[in-house]
Order: sequence, then structure tokens, then C-alpha cells
Amino acid sequence: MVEMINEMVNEVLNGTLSKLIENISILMILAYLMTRISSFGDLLNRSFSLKNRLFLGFAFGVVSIYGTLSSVQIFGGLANFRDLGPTIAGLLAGPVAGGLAGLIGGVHRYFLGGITGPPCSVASILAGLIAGCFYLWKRGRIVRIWEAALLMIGIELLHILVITPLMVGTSDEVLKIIRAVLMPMILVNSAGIAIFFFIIHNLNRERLIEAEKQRMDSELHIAHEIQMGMLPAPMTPRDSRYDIYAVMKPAKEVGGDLYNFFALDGDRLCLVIGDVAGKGVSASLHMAITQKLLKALARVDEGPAALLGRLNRELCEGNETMTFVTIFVAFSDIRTGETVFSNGGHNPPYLISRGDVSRLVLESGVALGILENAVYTEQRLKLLPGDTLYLYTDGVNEAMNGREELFDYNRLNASLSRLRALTPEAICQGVLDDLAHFVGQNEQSDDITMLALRLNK
Amino acid sequence: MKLWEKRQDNIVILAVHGRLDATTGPLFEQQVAPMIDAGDKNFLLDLAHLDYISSAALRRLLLLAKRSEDRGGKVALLSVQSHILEIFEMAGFTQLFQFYTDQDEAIRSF
Repeated sequence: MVEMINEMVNEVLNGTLSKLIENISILMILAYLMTRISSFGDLLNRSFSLKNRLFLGFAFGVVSIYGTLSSVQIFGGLANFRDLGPTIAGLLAGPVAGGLAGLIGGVHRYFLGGITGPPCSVASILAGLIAGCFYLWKRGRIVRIWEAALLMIGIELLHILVITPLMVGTSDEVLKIIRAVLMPMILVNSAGIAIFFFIIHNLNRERLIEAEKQRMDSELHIAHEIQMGMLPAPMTPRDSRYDIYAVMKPAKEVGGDLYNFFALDGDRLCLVIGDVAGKGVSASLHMAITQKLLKALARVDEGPAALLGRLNRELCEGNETMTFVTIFVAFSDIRTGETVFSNGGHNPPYLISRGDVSRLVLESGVALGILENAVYTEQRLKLLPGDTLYLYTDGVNEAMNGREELFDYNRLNASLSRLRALTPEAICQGVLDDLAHFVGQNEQSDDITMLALRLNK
Repeated sequence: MKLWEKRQDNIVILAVHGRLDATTGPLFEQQVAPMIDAGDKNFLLDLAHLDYISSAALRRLLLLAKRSEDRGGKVALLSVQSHILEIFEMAGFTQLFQFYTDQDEAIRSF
């Protein structure tokens, strides 16, 4: 044993082993390139066709020949990684591929001649077949790195210590070769296969992560569709007495903003805008609850403050995360323009009246979901024919550009002043355009929602 | 966001510097949660150097207040800048915290 180690050290010093490692690193690059071809994915999915198995056997047969050609002469023996190709082919795709690779590498070796020619040929074929049987035993599951390395060591021991003496005897010459190549070949081949399967496992993990990501993306996309389905479609109502338009742009696939509008009775509309603290999936769950609850709780014989009070109590229940929702609700009589509104911590809407743009001065009301006994107050205004009520969330005024400046109320004011004579749709789209222009390349940081109602003349 | 911790009597005085938003909010929570678990219930947040707070981060202050009050303590806010105060006002949260401009007075309130 000590002698062997000494010899090994000498081999390294002589550069034999390092030459082999150098050669094998070229093989590793080939292996990496191979894992990048598309049908390799089928292999990992265990849906490899016979044609692909044969192709793989052929390819690793070539690798096996390369293992022979790049071998290093040691006392007349060839330390090489010929068995590596067939073993990999067998482990990846079964005995057909392994056997074919071994046959190609073995036949090539046979015709090179030399005293170890015949046993080496047989060993290559056996390597592919044994690895192929291992594949069958594992039912096609990709082997672990240590399993592959152990199998490789076993195959090399079989090759050098069993097949060779059996076929060519134990003359001094043969024993000398055996002693010379045993450790280098075991080391090089097992290291080679370990690195190879390390690459394979990495690729497989990468593929699983990618598949998981795609699954998440598609689920989020469905969630997006569901969320959008909860919002009334922006449309021109059949009622010619008013125009209404709303738009929501979540910062991510799903968001925490909400809006709604629906008829309370023949003349009165309920307008809602709200913003759940935070964004993304968690906010979207609260958004869905709030959106559905509000409409279910709305009653014709009650005002918006009572509605917010009841919605608040529902949202407070079991709200351990203290997720709050700011909501502004208005009941608008489109016949008279009488509008009653109540606010739970939301940004003050704008009133565009007779060409004047002004922000409503709101009494403070606490955002919903926090204080169970919160009381909401009501305020009133009268919309005149041609007046517009513009509701929005803070994604508008807090939109940020690349210089970390906020869009803010001044710019919103300026936009609305420019757009004041237009339809609700044109106002909302106009503000969106101004926002896009202001934000530029900066990523949208918060959900953006707006809702505009205009009483027609 | 940086958090400076001082203690006086049984009051934890936390000076919050910088921005409290979706990114730094969890860091705030990470540093405060062990204090609550260790039994702290009186918090004085010095917000003189808090430049921005997002609605998601506001939620974390509410959570701190809720946990403190559940344990018989409270959260008081010190030296809140006017633009931060506006955010509290708009959300209607001024009634949920006590606001102070003088540290001694704030400490006496516990």
C-alpha cells in the first residue's frame, strides 16, 4: 500500500496523473455542452426514445475512443478513461446505450493492439452493460454522485484485477502494468464520473427550479385574471346621465388596490376606491375579501359611514397581521348630484367643478381593519352637471421617477387641470400618460388605480 | 434604515433612521420581535430621522402597538417629522399613538 502511494506520488510528479486530469477536463467541457442540448431534458424526464439512446451510446462511444487516445503510457500499459464513456452512457440511458458506447470504444481499442488490448476491449463493453443494469435496477432514476463513483471504482477493479489476469495471465509484464495503472485509473475514472454527475445534478436542480418558477408564474397569472374579474369593467354605462371610467394597474401580477361602482337604486351609484397596505399576493387576498364584503354589506337604507363601520368590524375580526385598508366611499345621486361620502384613511379625491380643480378636504377617519369601534363620519357635496369626481390611490401621487422625486399633488393637480374638460376615460388615460412620462424607465413601485365619474349636462 | 436602541427604566427607546419600507420593514420587525418576546412592552420610537414610511411599514408600527398593548404597555412616538405625520393623519392613525416632541415628557407618560 505504502509502495502504491509512493508510486502514485511519483506519477503525479512525473505529470502522468496531471496529464490525465488535463485530458479529462476536456471531457468535462464536452459533458457540459451535452447537457445543454435540448433532448438531454427528455433524458432527465426519463422519456428518452430509442433513437436518442442509440445517439447517446454513439456519442459516448466517441468519448470512450477519446479516453483511449488521450491515455498516458505507463510501463507499456495505458492509463486511460476509456471505461468512463460507456459507464456514463449506461447510467444515463441503460444497457443499450452503455453497451453500444462500450462496443465502439472496445473495438477501437482492440485494433490498437498491445498485450492488454483484448481484456481492455472486453472491459469497456462490460462497463457499459454493468452500468446499464445499474440503471435498470435504479429504474432510470439519476444515480447519486457517490453511487456513480463507487460503481466506477468497482468497474475499474474488475477490469484491472479480474478481467486482465483472467485473459492474459499474470506474467511479470502484466503485473507491472497492473501495478502501474491501478491507482491512476481508479482515481481518474471515479473523479471523472463524480464531476460528470455533479454537473448533471446541478442541471437537474436548475430545471426543477425553472419548472417551479413557471408554475408559480402561471398561478400568479390566474390570480391576476381572478382579481381583474372582481373589478367592474370600465365601460360607458347605458344610463346617459353620467359617464364613468376606472383603471387599475397593479405593480406586480396581483395587487392590493381596489375600486368598485354599482347602482344602489334607480338613481344612486356607489363609488368605492381603496388600498390595502402592502402589495403583491398578501395584499391581494385582503383586496378580494374587502371587495366582496363591501358590495355584500352595502344597503340602500344606510349611508356610506354606516357601510364603512360595518365593513371595518368585519375586517378587524382575526386581523392578526394588522393589515389595514384605506377606503373612500361615495353615494352619488345622479339625478340631483347630491353626493354623500365617507372616508377611512384614504387619499382625498379631486372635484372638477366648473373648470376648477380642487382636492376635497376630508374629515379624518381611521383606515379599516385596525380599530374595531372606529366611527366614520359623512360629508356631502353636490355635483353639478358637467362636474367630475376623480378618485385615485397613492400609487398615483407617490409614483417615483429615477431621481427619486414623487409625482405628488402638484403634478396631479396640473394634469387634472389640463384634462378637466375631458371625459372620465380621457382624464384617467391622460393621467396615466403623464405618470408614464414622469416615471420614465423607473419600475412601478405601487399599484395605481383611478376612478372618475362625470355627471352629464 | 438603522435602529438605535437605548433603555431608560423599563422603556425601550428606539431611534429609527432612514426609510421604513417594504425592504427595511422586515429588518425592523426582526430587531423588535425579540424585545417583545423578552418581555419589553413600553416603546418610545424617536422618529426625528425617519425620512419615509410606506403603508406596509406603517402596519409594522401598528403591530408593535398592538403587541405592546396586549401586554399592558404602549408605543409612543417622538419628534415625528411633519411629512411623516401627514401620513399618520391621512390614514387616521393619529388616534392610535401618542405623539410627543419632548423626550422627558414622553418618558413620563409611560
